[in-house]
Amino acid sequence: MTLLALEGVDVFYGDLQATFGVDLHVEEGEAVALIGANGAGKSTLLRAMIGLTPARRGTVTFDGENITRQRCDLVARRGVAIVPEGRRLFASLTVEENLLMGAARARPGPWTLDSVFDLFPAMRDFRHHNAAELSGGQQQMVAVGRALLTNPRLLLCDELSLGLAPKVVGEIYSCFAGIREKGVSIILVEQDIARARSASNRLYCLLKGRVTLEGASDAVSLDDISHAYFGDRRQ
Amino acid sequence: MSTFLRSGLALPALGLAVVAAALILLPIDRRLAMEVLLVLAMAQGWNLLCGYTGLLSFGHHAFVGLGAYVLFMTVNTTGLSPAWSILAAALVALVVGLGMWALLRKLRGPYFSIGIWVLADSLRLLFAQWEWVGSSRGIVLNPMSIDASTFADTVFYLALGLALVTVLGVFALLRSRTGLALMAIRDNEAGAASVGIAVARNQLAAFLISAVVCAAAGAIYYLSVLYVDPSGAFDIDWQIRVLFIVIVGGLGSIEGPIIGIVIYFGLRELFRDAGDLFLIFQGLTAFLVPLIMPGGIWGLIQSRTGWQLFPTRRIAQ
Repeated sequence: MTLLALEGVDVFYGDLQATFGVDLHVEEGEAVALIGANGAGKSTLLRAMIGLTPARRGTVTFDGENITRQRCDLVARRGVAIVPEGRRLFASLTVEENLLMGAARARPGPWTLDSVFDLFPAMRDFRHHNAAELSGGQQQMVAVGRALLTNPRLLLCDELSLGLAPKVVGEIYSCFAGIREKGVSIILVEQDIARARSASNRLYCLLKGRVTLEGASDAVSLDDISHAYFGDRRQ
Repeated sequence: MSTFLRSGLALPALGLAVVAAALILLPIDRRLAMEVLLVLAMAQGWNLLCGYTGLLSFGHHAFVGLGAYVLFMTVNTTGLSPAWSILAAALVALVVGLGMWALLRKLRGPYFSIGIWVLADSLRLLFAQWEWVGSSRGIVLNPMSIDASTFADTVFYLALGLALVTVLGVFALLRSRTGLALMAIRDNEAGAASVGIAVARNQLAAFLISAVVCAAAGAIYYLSVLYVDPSGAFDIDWQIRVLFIVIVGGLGSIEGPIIGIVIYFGLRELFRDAGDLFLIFQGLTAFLVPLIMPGGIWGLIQSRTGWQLFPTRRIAQ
């Protein structure tokens, strides 16, 4: 069953058009990767999905309902959570308070403080620290935990690996299995193509606001991806 | 009782009860006490908006003046008792606050601060031109509406009531989920929206609460002087006082404004007969405290000791 569908989505920042007629869908239980160079429109599409920058043309449908112009907080309560780029934690609050904020307007579901601590056992040790005192990797865990506590049906992850050491990135990505086990669908924006392929069922490649490639992650070749990623100058 | 103790409510409840009892029973200057209590209420209301929700207002003297005028006009034209007229002041502040919010809601940071300042000054100019409310001459409270023998006590108890309701109300609000949501909005609006917090509605609620508290305090203060004029009631000095008290005491805490109040009125009474010395010391304090203690006096105490007299945070002790 299709959980999220974008049809002909055009997003604008003022007069600047950032995406052009993007069609995209995510099935229930699926993990989908969005790849593309800087400025390709990946984060813009995520913003359009959660209503932070609503699409000017086209529709965003979640679970059969049109959410194109719905307010961000209402989309969140329907079950779309985001781990935003740069994490956007509540810096003056403690880790636990950050997590509780995720739970404040949560849908009913399997995620609780304890199940998030089980996912990231290290977080138990720094639960009473201020979010601003944490390392980048720790902050990313809190951002994932905060999003999960809203009990989402769809989790959007924007550049989880940004600015983190490869070892730490591995630790964060290893949680995906545990998240998908609980039936959460995932959209993953990632610059690291190998990581994006291995963590997803399907992928979309964007170039200058257009989808240039769509396919099963294990079926598309690196060659296809490189054409889609950079544009094919040889033709 | 034991859960009450453990929940951390016993200490603030006891403290407030002792302070209230001392104010009522001791032979103090009730005029000064009234003013202190009213400024405390204003500071707590303003701190809810600025310290906790992150919208820095330089224009809350608009509500002080508005509350005063509404009370005077209600008493003089309808004959309603002054005490009940405070409710009218609160109600009008709510409505005008909504209108101001419609203009300000998209402004953030310095734009919000300056925007509300402009609106406050516009209100002062409006009232100074408006013949029905006495224009720049101001208005006198109808003397038939008060009972001179009990008047001083009445305003004192009104001020005490407002201060207690404000402190306890803000405290209760901050302990609730809404309080945490306000702090999350202050730290990161988009992040708060992404976990399902209705950002605009929470900001509006904090704005209206602070407006109503300042209007009620302004109404009671000018009730006690029996006369109101636009340059006094809409004087930005009200805002500066609150700003000084909250910043010096500690922004974003309930304890901070209480400490700030003690320092402000302490300095003022100390230099009461020394002319401009008070202003010099106020300026020095405003300059030095944020320099040495960026979180205000209470911020420093809290970072050193971890104390919470009014426990609003989920921090391990």
